Amino acid sequence: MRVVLTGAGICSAAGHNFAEVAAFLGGNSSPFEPSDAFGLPGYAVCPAAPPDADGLGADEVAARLRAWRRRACVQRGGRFALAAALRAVSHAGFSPSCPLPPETPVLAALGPMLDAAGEPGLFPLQQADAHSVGEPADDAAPGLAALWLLRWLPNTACAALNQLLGLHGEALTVNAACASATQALGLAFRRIATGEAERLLVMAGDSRLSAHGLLGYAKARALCRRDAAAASRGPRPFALDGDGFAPGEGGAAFVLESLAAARARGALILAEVLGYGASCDGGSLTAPDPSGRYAEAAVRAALKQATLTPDAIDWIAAHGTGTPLNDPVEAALLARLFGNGPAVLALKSWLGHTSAACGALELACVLACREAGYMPPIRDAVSFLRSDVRFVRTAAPFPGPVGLVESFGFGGQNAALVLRLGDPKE
Amino acid sequence: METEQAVWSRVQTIIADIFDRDPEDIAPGTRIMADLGGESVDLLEIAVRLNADFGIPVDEDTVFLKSLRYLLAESRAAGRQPEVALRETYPYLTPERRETLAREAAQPQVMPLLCAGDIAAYVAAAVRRQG
Repeated sequence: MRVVLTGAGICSAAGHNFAEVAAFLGGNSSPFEPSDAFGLPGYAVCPAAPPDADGLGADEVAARLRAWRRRACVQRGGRFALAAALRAVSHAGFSPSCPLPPETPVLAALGPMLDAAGEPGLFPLQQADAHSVGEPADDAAPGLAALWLLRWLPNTACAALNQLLGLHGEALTVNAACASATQALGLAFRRIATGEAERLLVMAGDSRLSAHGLLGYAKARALCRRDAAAASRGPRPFALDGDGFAPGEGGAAFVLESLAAARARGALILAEVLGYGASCDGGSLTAPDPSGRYAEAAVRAALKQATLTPDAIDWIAAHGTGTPLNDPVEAALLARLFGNGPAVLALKSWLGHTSAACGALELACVLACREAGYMPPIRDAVSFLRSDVRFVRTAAPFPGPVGLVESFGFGGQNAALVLRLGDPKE
Repeated sequence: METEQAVWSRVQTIIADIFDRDPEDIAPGTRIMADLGGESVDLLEIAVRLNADFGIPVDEDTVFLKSLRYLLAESRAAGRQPEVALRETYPYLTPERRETLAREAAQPQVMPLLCAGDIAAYVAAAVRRQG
């Protein structure tokens, strides 16, 4: 079966629909801010909203989620995913009068909950709070909400989406670090390609913007340090002086379906998914394999499934975090496989690193850019790591439709998706 | 010691918080399940909040009238007056309220009868006991 994308939804610092995202990526205002407001100063972050705001946007979907009584059961990143998913469903042409069929499965790419300080009563667990034998369990940590755990369980947002949309198909939450969204899209693609499902909803969302979320990556020396005055200079993917990533947050979602199903209901087709590949370095738990050979295997597998050679690729949405560990390995891979052919985008220079959501959110940005007809440059980079890769240095017209999304995560999680943008009949 | 009015206003706020309503929307006669769309998870949240905010032990079976129908069936089977069983278990409710509960619970297919005022009465009695 041929597989197409028929709906996209976005909830991000770049905007909440294609028009807003395209305007943002065509402008030159910096989305990066000092991390102070999120509880750990000294870094640049890319928030979708201030810590006390929900960042859901201003449309009907945002209003619906704000009126939904269980919204506090879902952590911040999960709420971005929900907003994006409701938008994708509506963008795909489904509505209360023509709902998504209830058997539609949902694949959710969600990050871990790290916001320990945002859970009043959880830490520190005092000796006096601890439950001792014979006391009712309610006496432990009295300030803590009864269902605080829901914010920490990975599947809550996925369950919530099924409740909101009245879906009863398989609901599966995927976590593969920063490759999560791309792997969820890849799994959805495979299920439709093999005829296992006619249509799937993929949603992704994440936020690590909390004191403990930032602390995790700060301790691992993965973040770009910026004092408050310099924080508007974000990360510098593929630059010689790349010094770490800047955490972002947001969500994106897609409806995927078989070309036949999409044609049968006269759906607008955004792109065709042509191939998917994934691998694991099986080496370091954090740093990528320095040879990049397993990442390359994932990219080659995606190309092979698409029956394309590297010279057919027009654009690449690279993983490009800005870290000295990822970027040289990825840049070398790009030079080896593609040389100076495709235009290489590094959207984390605009969005920050949206972790589990990045592959989906960056794909949504690519679709928005193509609709607007241009490609954004890699922000803030002056000197690039290599001259034998065509990094997008200044805004340029959008090239041909065939491209590659790469996501490489902690744990050596590698995923690659090959797509042709637009309706296949174009 | 808190007056019953002060207890009610705090219970009202807790219930309003949990159900995402304005406190003015919550009256003593507001039914937790039928009017507010409550589910068991909401009762759990209420119990935890009562315990934390008032520092009282919360017996969920009692405060949420969970055993009401069982008590009535048991007392009927034993040939006792329902009022006696309800007075033993829910001494903090007024006799009028207990009578209403016994009458309503006799009808099948009625949503659980718990009202916001029942919860406040439970809390007020627990607070009184603590002095």
